[in-house]
Amino acid sequence: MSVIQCENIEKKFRKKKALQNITFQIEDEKITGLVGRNGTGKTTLLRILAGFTKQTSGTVTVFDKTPFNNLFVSANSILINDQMQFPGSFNLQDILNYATEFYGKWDAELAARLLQYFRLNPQSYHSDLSKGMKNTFNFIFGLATRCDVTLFDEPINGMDEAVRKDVYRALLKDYLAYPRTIIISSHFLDEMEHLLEDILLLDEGKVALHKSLDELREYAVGLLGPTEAIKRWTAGLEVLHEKQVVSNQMYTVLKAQDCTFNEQQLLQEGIAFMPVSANDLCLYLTNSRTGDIDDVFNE
Amino acid sequence: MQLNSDGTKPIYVQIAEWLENEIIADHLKTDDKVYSQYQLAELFNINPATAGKGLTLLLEEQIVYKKRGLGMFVTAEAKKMILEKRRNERLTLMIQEIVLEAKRLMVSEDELITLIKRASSKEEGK
Amino acid sequence: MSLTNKTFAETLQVQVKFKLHAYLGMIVYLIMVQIVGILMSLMGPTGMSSVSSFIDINAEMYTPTVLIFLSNLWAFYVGLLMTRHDQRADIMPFVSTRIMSSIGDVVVLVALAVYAGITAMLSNYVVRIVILLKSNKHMLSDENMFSAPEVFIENLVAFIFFILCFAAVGYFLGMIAQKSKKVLFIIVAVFFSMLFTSFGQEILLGTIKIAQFGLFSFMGVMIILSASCFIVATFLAGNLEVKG
Repeated sequence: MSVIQCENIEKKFRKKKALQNITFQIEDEKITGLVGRNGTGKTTLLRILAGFTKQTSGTVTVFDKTPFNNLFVSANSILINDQMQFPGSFNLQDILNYATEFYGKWDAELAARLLQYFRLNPQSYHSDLSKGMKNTFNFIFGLATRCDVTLFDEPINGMDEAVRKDVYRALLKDYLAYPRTIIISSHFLDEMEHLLEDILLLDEGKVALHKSLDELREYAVGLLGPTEAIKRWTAGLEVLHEKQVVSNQMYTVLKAQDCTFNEQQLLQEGIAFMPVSANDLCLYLTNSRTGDIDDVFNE
Repeated sequence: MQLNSDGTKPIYVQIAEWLENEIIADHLKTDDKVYSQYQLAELFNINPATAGKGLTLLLEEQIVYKKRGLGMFVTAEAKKMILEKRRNERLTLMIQEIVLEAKRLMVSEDELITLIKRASSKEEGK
Repeated sequence: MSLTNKTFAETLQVQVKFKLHAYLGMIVYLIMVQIVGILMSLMGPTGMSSVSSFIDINAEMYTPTVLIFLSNLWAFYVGLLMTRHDQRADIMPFVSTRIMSSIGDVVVLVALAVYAGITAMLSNYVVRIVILLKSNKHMLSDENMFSAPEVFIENLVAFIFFILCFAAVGYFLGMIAQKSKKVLFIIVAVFFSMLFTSFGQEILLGTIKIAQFGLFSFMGVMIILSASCFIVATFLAGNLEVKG
């Protein structure tokens, strides 16, 4: 069953298109990673799914309902981001107390234990916390709501490495105990890809790719070897990324499905096969086609 | 429990291989219940779908069998099949790589065999 | 998947509690404002005196004008504040819709207006008692809550509705400002320019005349004004996006 369905959504801010032609479905009880470069509309998409903002055109349904201004969707979904704010007069404990009343599945014990573990004083105020602490609290808040659709927008920003590790583990454990639909946007794909089942990659406001992570890991192959030999072998094939390593050696990334040549033969010519990590692949797929940073310095 | 996450080998394959190792080492014997995908997810800190894929791999190779509602169990021929498979696939592949590397380093065939013998006697001496 | 399904009323109830708690700090401002009001009233009573050759009559009238004016200003400010984006975003981590959030705001404003009305009324008595004590003057008419409870209640209700009306106008203007600063400017400009046309003055005077007819007509005017402000504001809020 698809919990989230987007059909051809478009979002404009004044004249600028933030999202266009977005069509995808997310099945129940999956963890999906939402990735893409800065400014490709990840935040806007999550805000539309949470009902914070309305798409300009197209249809969005969450639990078969339009999320904007829908109480049912609001009660069963949560969006966690670092712009989250609470009334200035509430301390953390007040916030948690109200969450108990608002959210049907709120786990107060989990929240209390996580707060204690991450050394967040329940008597402190949200606005007094450091960026990392604030995001840790927001994360705990999001996890404890146990909402069937839980959306995290860059949840780990500002957290140190140890906290990030704990946060990933907490997310996985709670998910295993209470499976639900989770979408996480993050720039730290390397760190958290083991948690994810699917990847939704946005590029310039469009869906560039929506695949399972296992497929993504086998989606591309990197070839490293003499430029002349690689050019010869890859002629006519779609190149996802290429880079001159040294003057006569180059690195090329191809789609795995196109690599039908004989491995032995390539090895003989000094071409090595290399796996392409999901993170690198996402970067290659969303890079501007105008070359990379090295080109700026090479006149 | 640590997995190799540099992308050289898919995680679900590593899960399948880890389970195979458990079977080879007799930690899991015939008709023993294999870890569920959720236990594996917890153990290796991975998404349960990935763990499930590792189990499916073993299921397809008939190293484990499914009892509806109860989980997966080790088949009688599991250990034998794994050993055979590894001999055929992995060892062959690894030897291929060694031969290629030896060629690059200009190590003769005889020298290579001597090296292998030496390594093997060292292992026995342990 | 077992989804939570709470009714509108249940959630609204929690939300009102939440908002009352969040805006409790406003009461502190109210107390400060009313203390200032009391002090100002004590300093300068409006009065009139007539001197004849035989007796010297010095009559002073104590009206709660300053107190009411300051309380109204406070209410206007609270109404305006509630519509600010960062205030409206406070409910976003919790369960809400835009309409529900506005209804919650209205309920809280009503509660605060009732509170402000009561305290303004009592502050007014403080002023009277202090003046009475520090001079040897006599009260000519003193309808207190014991001697004339119906007058007391009438005044109280009038206070409350007057204050609420200001809160409503603040809320309305604030919501317009959230939607578009230009529209706000136009509305304010139109309102003031209306005051200079004979038609506008007629409407205004007419409204005041009706309001002065008695408690019920005053209440009627206040209710209609507040309600229309709230309804328009709620309607606007329904389509308002929470910007990030």
